[in-house]
Formats: sequence, structure tokens, C-alpha cells
Amino acid sequence: MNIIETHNLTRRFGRTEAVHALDLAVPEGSVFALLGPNGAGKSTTIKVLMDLLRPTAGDARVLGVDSRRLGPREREQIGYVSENQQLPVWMTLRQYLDYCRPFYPRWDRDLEQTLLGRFDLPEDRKLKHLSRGMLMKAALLSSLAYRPRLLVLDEPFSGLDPLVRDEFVRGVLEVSELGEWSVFISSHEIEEVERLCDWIAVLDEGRLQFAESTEALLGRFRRVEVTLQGGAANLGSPPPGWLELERTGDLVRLIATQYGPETERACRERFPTGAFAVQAMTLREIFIALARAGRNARKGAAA
Amino acid sequence: MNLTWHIVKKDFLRLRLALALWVALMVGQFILSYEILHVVDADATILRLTVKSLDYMQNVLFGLQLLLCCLLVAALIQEDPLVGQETWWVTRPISGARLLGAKLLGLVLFFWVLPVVVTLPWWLYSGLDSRALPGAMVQLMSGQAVLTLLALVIAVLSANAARFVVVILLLIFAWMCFFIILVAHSSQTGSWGGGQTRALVEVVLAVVGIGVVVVHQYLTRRSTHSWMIFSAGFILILAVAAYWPWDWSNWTTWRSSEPPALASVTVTPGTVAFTKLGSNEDPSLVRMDLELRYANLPADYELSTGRITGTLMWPDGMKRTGSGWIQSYPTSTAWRIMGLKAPAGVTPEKWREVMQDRGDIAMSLIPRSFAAKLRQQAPVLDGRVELTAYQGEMVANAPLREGARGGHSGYHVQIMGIERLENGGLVLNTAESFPILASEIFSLVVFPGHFVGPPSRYVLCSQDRTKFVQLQSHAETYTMTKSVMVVRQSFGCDARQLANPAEPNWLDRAELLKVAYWPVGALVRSAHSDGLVEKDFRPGKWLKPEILLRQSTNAPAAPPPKS
Repeated sequence: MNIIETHNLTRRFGRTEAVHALDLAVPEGSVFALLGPNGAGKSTTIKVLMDLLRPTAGDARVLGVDSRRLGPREREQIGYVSENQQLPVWMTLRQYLDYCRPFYPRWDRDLEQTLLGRFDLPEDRKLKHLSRGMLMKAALLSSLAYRPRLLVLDEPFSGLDPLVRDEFVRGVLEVSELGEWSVFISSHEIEEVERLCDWIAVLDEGRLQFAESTEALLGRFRRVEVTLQGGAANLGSPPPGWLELERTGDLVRLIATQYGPETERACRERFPTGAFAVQAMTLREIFIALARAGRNARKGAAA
Repeated sequence: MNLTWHIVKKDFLRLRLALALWVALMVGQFILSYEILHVVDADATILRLTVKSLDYMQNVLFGLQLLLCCLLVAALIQEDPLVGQETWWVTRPISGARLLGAKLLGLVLFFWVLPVVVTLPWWLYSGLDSRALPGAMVQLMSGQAVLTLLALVIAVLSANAARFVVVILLLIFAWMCFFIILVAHSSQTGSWGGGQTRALVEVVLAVVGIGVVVVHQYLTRRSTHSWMIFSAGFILILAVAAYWPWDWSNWTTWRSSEPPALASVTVTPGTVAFTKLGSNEDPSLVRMDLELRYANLPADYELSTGRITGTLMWPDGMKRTGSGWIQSYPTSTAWRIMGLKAPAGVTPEKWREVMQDRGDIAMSLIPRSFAAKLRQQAPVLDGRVELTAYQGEMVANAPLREGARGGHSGYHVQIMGIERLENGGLVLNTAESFPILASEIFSLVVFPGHFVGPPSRYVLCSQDRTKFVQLQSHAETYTMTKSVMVVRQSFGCDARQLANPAEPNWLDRAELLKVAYWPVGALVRSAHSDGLVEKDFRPGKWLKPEILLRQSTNAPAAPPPKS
């Protein structure tokens, strides 16, 4: 079962199309990351999922319910943390938690206390006097203490220093081990996402580039280096699935997006005398390669 | 309900300091009103200035209260805003309907009930009894309802306080532009009944429109749609204000029952007189004063003419049918004190004397050509008169000495100063408080600042109830403080009025009386005259008649018109 589904989801702001015909399926129990550069449409997608915005076309279903019809029963099972959320910052953390608690029948006081200790949050300080990192942790605490089925995090790492990011990720990881939770996270902070996620989707200019499991993604992307021996070779135009094909002296580099026996065979046909070296890529490298390719494609289309 | 209450408690926690400030402004208003009632100074000028200053400060506090109330309503709503993409409550298990319920509950508790609770000691101090208290409560809550509902509809459509203020300023600007542009070009007639109907329709439209916008916004959070509904309602109200043609006042005002005691009352038109208007008025018009005589009117009742509809028919076949609301005043000031009868025990002889002369002068503006025609030939009048009935009650009596006080039914009068003038005249300074009638609520809501209050008079009365002197007001300061009218007044009368050869020292044991007239119902009577003739009421003041066709022989002396 998918905990989130979108079909042909489109959201426009005037003439600007922030999200275009997005089809997405987030499996239940997964930690799903929505990646993309700034302005890719990640936050807009999440706002539509949370019914903070209405779709211009298409639909989104969260926990099996149309996002426009999410009611208190569904909200009791959804945790939402966003970098821009307007929290009632005039409250102390204690008041804030006291206010949130009655709305959730499944609020876990023990988990609340555990998280308070783990996040090292001062209960008597007003939220407006908390640092940004503490505020995000407080928001996370208030979204985890009722053990939601779905945790939605919108750019949760923005502006956080590395230490707090680490605490935040640890918090999510540790808590996610406590139950069958799904996490949907949008970010452009790839290192943190890599530690968390088992599914990844990439948005660029509102369009979905791909969505697949992290394992499959990391398995199919490879950086290939060919050391040419004995003369020149014509690079030619790259076949489908090759990115960033370039040559520096005797060294040819490329990124194979569908690495497999077919890729090796194609390389050997093109560079028969070359020596091959194949390296696995990090998620960050994959993301940058894809972003660069997308930008080049747009430049080409514009030209 | 628990969760709704939970939200209300949160909002109270958030607004408690601002609410405390708001309450402090109210209490400050009470303190100033108390001071207005009790300030004393031997110098009348200084006293008047002091009272005016206190009144001014009291008005400033009242204005601040209104302003703060609007901002507090906005703060209450925008604590959980309905506009914006990062609203916290939307992502929590709080439905729009529940939040709306919580906000409405908060609105009622903070801005309707709280002022009543805070004002209750002031009302009790002012002597409001079980008859006056419910009216005062309803009135205060209705005033608060108007203010808070207007603020509410803007608050649900704006994201923060700054935008709230900007939208309000824009709406005020739009309303002013409307009056300048639309009303100047509208063709509506200005009858009082039409205006009343129009105002009522506007109020109903506004309440319904506000309800629709607020509910729609809470249930859907679709601000664009809500703004469209709001704009449509706003334009509709403007259109009604500019072009509403119908007068439904027959359905609203005159539906009240007729007091049984007035079943045999009849109305007879007497004479007419014409008065030239001021230099600023339309020179083609004159004021026509139509005398109406009442018969079989019980002693402790009073009537005032509301609207008269009738046809004037001349022997030459000419007809003129007219209708309009008419300001009226009694033909004799003496019967204003009729309420003294029961409580003060006026003698039957005196009472008969007083009751002989009763009637009204109904005033209306008519073309000069019409007046000229009436002067040439006396027309037959067949008409219908609508009258409001009042029952007189002595609401205060106090011995004529400084510091003396008296009153009941919420009325309190204290004599603050007595001054005998060198010319033998008498000046009294009084402090007075009384409740505003519940029947004034509509007028206050629709025409803020247009306070009439029950007709009332101050009278000096001898101990044996044989000498009555009606006092004339010299200076007065009216301050409305939460449904209680606080009045500082100076009254006077000249030596001629005070003269009483039968008992020269009657003032030593005289009483100050106040009579108020409570509206108790309405009457509609036919009015017929076989020949409506002009009478020269007062040379110099009234237009000198060019032709007097017939002179009434038994018409009573005319009173001076109201200033």
C-alpha cells in the first residue's frame, strides 16, 4: 500500500507552474526523500499534500484520503515539520506540548519525555527564544510524540548547524525504529537524506525526474573512467544513459545512469583499447550530475 | 467540546494582558463618569469646563476601547490564521468547524460577556433595577456584536494585524468614495420610514454576509472565494444604501399593540400655520404646522405624532395627497407634567385644568404655492395619523436643597448646586444618571450618536401640589457610559414663574420632580377636518397670513416651537 500517491498533480501560481503533472507513490513504511534544487517544487508538493495549498489539477491522496479532505482523524496520524511553519512562538515549550497533547488520543507521554531528554530542550523557555535548531527539534518532538503513521518533513535541515543536523537525523532514525512509520522528507541537503532514506525522488522545475529505491539508484549509477592507450579516439555523441562524457588527455570520464553489462559492452565498442575503472557514486554526486544534465538540456532546448 | 474549550483557554492565555488593558480602559471610563456625576465647584464656569474635560477624557477612553477591541478581535482570529500557507493549526487535528466554534465562543466570552461582567458593578451603582438591567445588557452586547462582527469578517480575510488595519482603512476609504459618488447620483427619496427600512435591510444583509464569509473561510480557507463573497456583499449593501426604494416601516414600527386604555382616543385636525425657513433652507418651501387635538386621552398618557398620511381636497376639485414623517411638539407644556398625577397626588381640580388642553403640532415642509392655495381656500382633510403612546412616570423627586437626591427605576438625580439670581430667578445644577431604553437599541445600532431617550421634564413643585414650574435647561453634558446616560445639567426659571402670591415662601419646602415618559405602544387614527384654516399663532414668528378665510374661535394658545 502507498501512504502517499499523486496523480497528474499540478500546481500553478499565476503563469508559473511550480509542479507539473507529478505522479508519485510513496510506499508505506519507507523513508522517502524528495530531492531537488531550490525552486524545484518540493515545498509546493508538500503543501498540496498537507492541504495548505490546493492543486490546480490532478489529485493527491494521503493515507488513502484526498488531500483536500484530510480531517482530524487523518491529521492525528500525520506529523508535519517545516522550516517556515508558524508555530505559536509566544508559548513556552511546556505550554506548547500541553496544548498539542489533547488533540492526539495516542500521545505518548513517555516518548515525549524521552525525546525531551534526547533533544536537550528547555521546557520553560518560550519558543521564540529558542535557537533555530532547538525550534526545529521542538517541532519534531511535537510531531513524533503521538507516533504518527506518516511523518512529513519539509526542508528540516535548512539553517541548522552540523551538530544539530546530526541530532535531528539521529532523532528521526531512532524514533523511526520504534514503529512502522513512514517518513516523507523534502530537502536539498543530500548527505543527511542519504543517511535516512530508502526511497528517493528527484524533482526539477516541477517535473519528476525519477523515483526509486536508494539501493536501486546507487546500484545503477556509476562513474566510469577510461584510460585511452595508443592514440586518439572519437568521443562522439553519448548514447542514452551516459552523462558528462568528457575527455582530458588520455582520460575519458562518463557517468552511466543505467550501469550494467550493456554499459560495459558499449564502452568497449567505443574505446576498444581503453583501460576501464568503475566507481560507485554517492547520492550527492548522482544528484549533482542529474542537476547539471537537466540544466544543460534546458540550455540546449532554449538555444 | 473539550477541545473547543481547550482552544478558547489557549486564546485567553495569549490575549490575557491585552484583555486586562481593555478592561482597565472600561474601568477608567466608569471612574471618569463617576467623577462627572460628583464633581463640584463654586464657580459655574470652572465646573462646566471640568465636566467637559472629564467628558472629553471619557470619550477618548471610549474611542481607545473600540480601537483595542477591534485589534483584539483580529488578534484572536489571527492567532490561528486562515490566510497563508504555513498555518500551524491546519496540519493538526483541528477541523475548521471546531476552530470556528472556538473562536466564536472566545468572541462571545471575551467581547460580549466580559464587558457585561465588568460593567455590572457600574450598572448596579447607577441603580439599574431588574427592569433596566436586561435592556442594558442586551444593548451593550448588541453594540459589541456590531463592532466584533465587523472586525471578525476582516480578520478572517487578512493574514496579520498590519493587513487587517490596511484593509479596514481601504474599506473606510471605499465607503467614503461611495457616499461621494453614488449617493450624490441616487434618486432615492429621504423619507424617515424609507431610511429606517433601508438601514434594517443593510443590517440584515451585513449580518448574513458576514456569517457566510466567516463560515466559508473557516470551512474552506479559500480566501479568494471568500473575498469575492465579501466584495459582492459589500457592493450589494452599497447598492441598497444608494437605491433602496421601498418603505416597509408600516410593517415594522406600527405592528405593536395598542394600549387598551387608549381605545377611545380620537384625533381631530385643528388649524395650520406657516413658518418661513432659515436662509440656508430651500426658499420654495415653508414649514406647515398642523394642529392635532386629542380627545379621551387618559391623564397619565402622552402621544406624539409619527407619520401623517392624508388628502387635502379643495372645493374647486383640486386634490393633494401627501405622506411623511413629521416632527411634533405638544400644544401645551402644561400637560407634560401629567405623570405627576398618581405618584404626587395632584388635586382633581388642578388635574382637570391641566387636562383640558392637549394636542400636538405636526410639522412638515411644503411648497409655498401649496401654502398659498391653502390660504385662499380651506380644504377638507382626510388623513391617517400614526402616533406613539407614552405613559408618564415620576422617576425622581428630591427636596429642593443642595446634596438632596432621589430616584427609582434606574433614574438618579442629585441636586449639586442651587443659585438664586439677583433678578429673582433660580438656577439648579444637577447630576443625573439613567438607563438607555432597550427600545433605543435599534436607533443606536443603525444611527449611532442619534440618541433620543424618553421624553422627560424637570418640574419644581410646591409641597401642596398646587404650584408647578417647569424648568428650562441652560447647559448640559451628556455622556453615555455602557448603556447609562450620565448627565450634568443646569436648569433655570425666572422670577415671574416662581411668583406664588398664595404662598410666597413655597420654594423653602418645594420639591424637584422629574417625569419620564415610557413608550408603551402605538396608535393609528383617522383625522378629518371639514375645513383646514390658517391661524396666526404668533405675530413676527409665523408667516403673516395674506388671506384669513376663517378664524378659529376656540383654538388654544400656541407654544413656542422646539429650538
